[in-house]
Amino acid sequence: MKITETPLVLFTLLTGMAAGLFAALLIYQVITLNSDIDTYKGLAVVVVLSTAAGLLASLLHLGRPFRAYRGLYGLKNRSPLSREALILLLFLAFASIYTTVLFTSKQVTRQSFCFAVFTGLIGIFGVFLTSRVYMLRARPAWFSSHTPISFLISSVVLGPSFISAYLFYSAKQSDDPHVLTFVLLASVAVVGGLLIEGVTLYDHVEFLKLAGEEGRLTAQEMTESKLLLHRTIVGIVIPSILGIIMFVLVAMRITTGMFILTQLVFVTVLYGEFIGRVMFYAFSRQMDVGML
Amino acid sequence: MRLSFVIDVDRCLGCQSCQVACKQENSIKVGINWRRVATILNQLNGHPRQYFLSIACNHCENPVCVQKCPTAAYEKTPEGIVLHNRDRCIGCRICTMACPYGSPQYNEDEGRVEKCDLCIDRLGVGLKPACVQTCPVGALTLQDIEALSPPDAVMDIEGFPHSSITSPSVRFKRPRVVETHTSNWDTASNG
Repeated sequence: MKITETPLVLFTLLTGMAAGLFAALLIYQVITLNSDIDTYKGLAVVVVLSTAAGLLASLLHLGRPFRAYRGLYGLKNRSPLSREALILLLFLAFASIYTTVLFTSKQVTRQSFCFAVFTGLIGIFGVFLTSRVYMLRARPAWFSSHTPISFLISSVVLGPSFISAYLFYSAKQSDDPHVLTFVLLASVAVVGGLLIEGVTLYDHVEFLKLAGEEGRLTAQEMTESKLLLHRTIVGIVIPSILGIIMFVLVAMRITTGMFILTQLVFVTVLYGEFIGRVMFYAFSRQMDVGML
Repeated sequence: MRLSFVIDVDRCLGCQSCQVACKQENSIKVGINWRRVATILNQLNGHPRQYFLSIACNHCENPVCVQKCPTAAYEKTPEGIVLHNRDRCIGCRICTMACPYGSPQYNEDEGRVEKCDLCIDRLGVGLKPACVQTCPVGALTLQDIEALSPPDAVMDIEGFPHSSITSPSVRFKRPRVVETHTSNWDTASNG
């Protein structure tokens, strides 16, 4: 499997996961009534590390990474890339501040929780702006509603599945009703998100077949590649089935084997999203002079 | 006054001397072409037809490179020339992805993008751009876009991405459509 634009694959995946993770963390905080501060700390650290790693990976894409700060100069021209960089840097800064607050206080105050909600919204907005960068008419494969949908769904499925795996990995509260309520919601998010992803992916392929010569060639490359099948089976069907099993078990209050199950769901979801992002960059024929 | 390349498709021989002159004038490294000649193959009335499009930066009215650049490295002058400041470029390549004509090209050695500047230095001293100067058949000219009008100068031609994307400041003189008639000789030989 040849991966093109590896730094961008890592950047979009890590920042997308971080934003989804932060939003899911807030939902977990609401469910647990802000009482499980040790878990919040661990997850908040993962958010900061994931965002920072993603932003660092994005630098590797640049021809002159040490001058990356100039990427903000385009704000005056409303450059989508500059906006994305600014918002994701703000998300990193605010998530770091919130993490520091969690480590320095014994409980989550109303003010700090409101700040966290604001930070979560910035993170999700950052993911949306990342997808906007690729809305380029010169690349029909990117210039469709599938781009923002797939980027946002990555966050929706990666965040909750990571927290579910983390909660059972720490294995302290496997019978905690709050944890089970969260895992129930997480399984709904994973299955629902992957279902939408699957439907929009195949709808996108059909759309490309009618989107000029570049689109037709992109669709042809996608359908001839094994990656599409791989993405469908390993990245959508298997985690969806595992998610349904997770939902049923949690609904029946059966926690035996949940450790393995939650890890498997997260790993397959992560792998599927990785393949999906590799496909995003690999299959995007550009318009050119001479294409009839 | 807004400047525009005008390509007379009927005159162009596809000799690529414009491409060579551009490389020589701007000392462009191997593998990068600010100007290139694309061969268009299509059909007319069921018969194969071939013509050439000599394409560089089209200095568009709505240049996506200017809109997308995160470092504001691109600017559009009042004469309509889209200039790229190489010192500001960080090599993010979003302009190369956004341009439907493949005009900005990435120079891996320098880690930044480069493109046609319409030979602005030559224009400043009253010379024509190197590509225009070199064209042996006068197929490539630089003209004031406001003085041009169809049918001598059209915006869209087969093989060229649609002008609605960026409103490129390039105009084409369409290839002539030659009517084919059955000659007396053909009629006679057929019996």
